[in-house]
Amino acid sequence: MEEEVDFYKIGSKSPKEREVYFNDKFFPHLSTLYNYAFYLTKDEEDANDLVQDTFVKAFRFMDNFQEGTNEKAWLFKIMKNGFINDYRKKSAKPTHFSFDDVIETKDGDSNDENSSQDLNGVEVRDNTDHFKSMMGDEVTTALERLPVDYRQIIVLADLEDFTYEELSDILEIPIGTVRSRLFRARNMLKTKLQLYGTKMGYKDKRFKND
Amino acid sequence: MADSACQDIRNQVMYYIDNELSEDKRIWLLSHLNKCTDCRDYLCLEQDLKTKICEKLKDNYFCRCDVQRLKESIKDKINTYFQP
Repeated sequence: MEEEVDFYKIGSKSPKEREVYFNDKFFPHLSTLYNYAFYLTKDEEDANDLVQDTFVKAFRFMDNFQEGTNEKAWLFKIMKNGFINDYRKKSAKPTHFSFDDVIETKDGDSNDENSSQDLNGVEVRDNTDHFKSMMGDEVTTALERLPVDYRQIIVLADLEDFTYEELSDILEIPIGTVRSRLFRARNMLKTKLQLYGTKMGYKDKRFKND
Repeated sequence: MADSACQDIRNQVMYYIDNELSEDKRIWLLSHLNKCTDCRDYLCLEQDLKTKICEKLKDNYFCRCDVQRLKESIKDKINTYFQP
């Protein structure tokens, strides 16, 4: 006999219960989803459309969501897929993403000539020299210059605070890839910041004695 | 220049900050940090970077929106599409 699942599917709810569940569990993530949509589209109107599409899809496919799992991660996944599959195709306006970005970030690729690899094949920076004393908007600029997959994982991990398991679910990649992609993304970011810091005359203060 | 033990630790520091290390690895890392000033400094830098990234992301990516209005638009769409 097949094992019964602990949580019941939302499909078993009445229309009224579904509406209440949607209001209580999905709508609280609206502003967070909007921020992510704005990050993806860089346009308020497009962000509005993307959020609306995401919630309409969430309502439509609510039966596929299993109560007891993570609503926020599920909504982010719908939005991410919606952006990739629908929005980017429909949108006549160019976004800050480019096709080159996607090509550039194929896992295993590296465009950082100063990097090496550890035993797991993960890119490792020589961390003896470092970025330091972060300056005004250089973090933003450095982030913007990261390939899209790297930017995306940093936003989801550092801002939205998703766990690696949730990131794996949202981005539909193995946890090992989550780990290596984050590792690479942050190292690439540090390199960009370090180059800027060096240019501006900042020094590594790690070994400074007080 | 960090020796190989330090490099092993530094390869794991990010996962420690993200709270994604197993208990065994966490103990191993903390025991090293306890006796290695350079790696402790490295940890602080990594934490600083993460904090800084968060602050900047909040500044730049958090866009104010009229949540109530957006919610109403979504409800209207849902009603249009899904109600008989």
